[in-house]
Amino acid sequence: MAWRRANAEELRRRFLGQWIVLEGTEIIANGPDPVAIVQVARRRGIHSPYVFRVEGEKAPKTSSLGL
Amino acid sequence: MVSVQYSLEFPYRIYQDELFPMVMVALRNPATRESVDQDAFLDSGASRSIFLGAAAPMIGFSLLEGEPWEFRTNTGQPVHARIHRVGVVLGDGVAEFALDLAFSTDEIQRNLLGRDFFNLLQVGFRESYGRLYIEPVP
Repeated sequence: MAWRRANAEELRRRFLGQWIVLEGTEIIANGPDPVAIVQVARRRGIHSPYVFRVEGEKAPKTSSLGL
Repeated sequence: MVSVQYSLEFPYRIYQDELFPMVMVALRNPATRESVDQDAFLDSGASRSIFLGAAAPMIGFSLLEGEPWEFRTNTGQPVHARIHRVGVVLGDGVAEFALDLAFSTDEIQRNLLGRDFFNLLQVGFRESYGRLYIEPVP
């Protein structure tokens, strides 16, 4: 999580809208298809891959509700 | 006054550069044991938990084979989903719960763990410290 926070800008610049599998500080796979990148991670021996989508910056003067 | 002794402590997690009361959970398909780790917001305003539809095929479910379900958002707009029974694993396997989890078939931004999840455990928030506490019993 600390790595994600420290690298948030770089992640957005390179991967905005993409899915990423992150293992520690290593990006194992990325792309538009989350199922495909999970399969890549499992082939690498990662039993339960951590998967997230790279979101854009929060717009100014906005707050979020649940959905 | 009731006191709760919490055995699990988690720091808030980041979303769009902001810290939120989120936990990382492993979603597990009970039939195949396929599993993925996902961030989820703890949302006591959600009567039922809902995850992005994309998470269902990651663990081997055919999204549309689940029971249909409909949510109503704060604006009254519907969000459609399908229900699949999953295992929700907390804290590197410290606790696992069976949950009939909704996976959205509409576009949503975030995974939410709602009151069906809260019904399985006890949660405490310490907002100003950015930490949350869980005792994995009802």
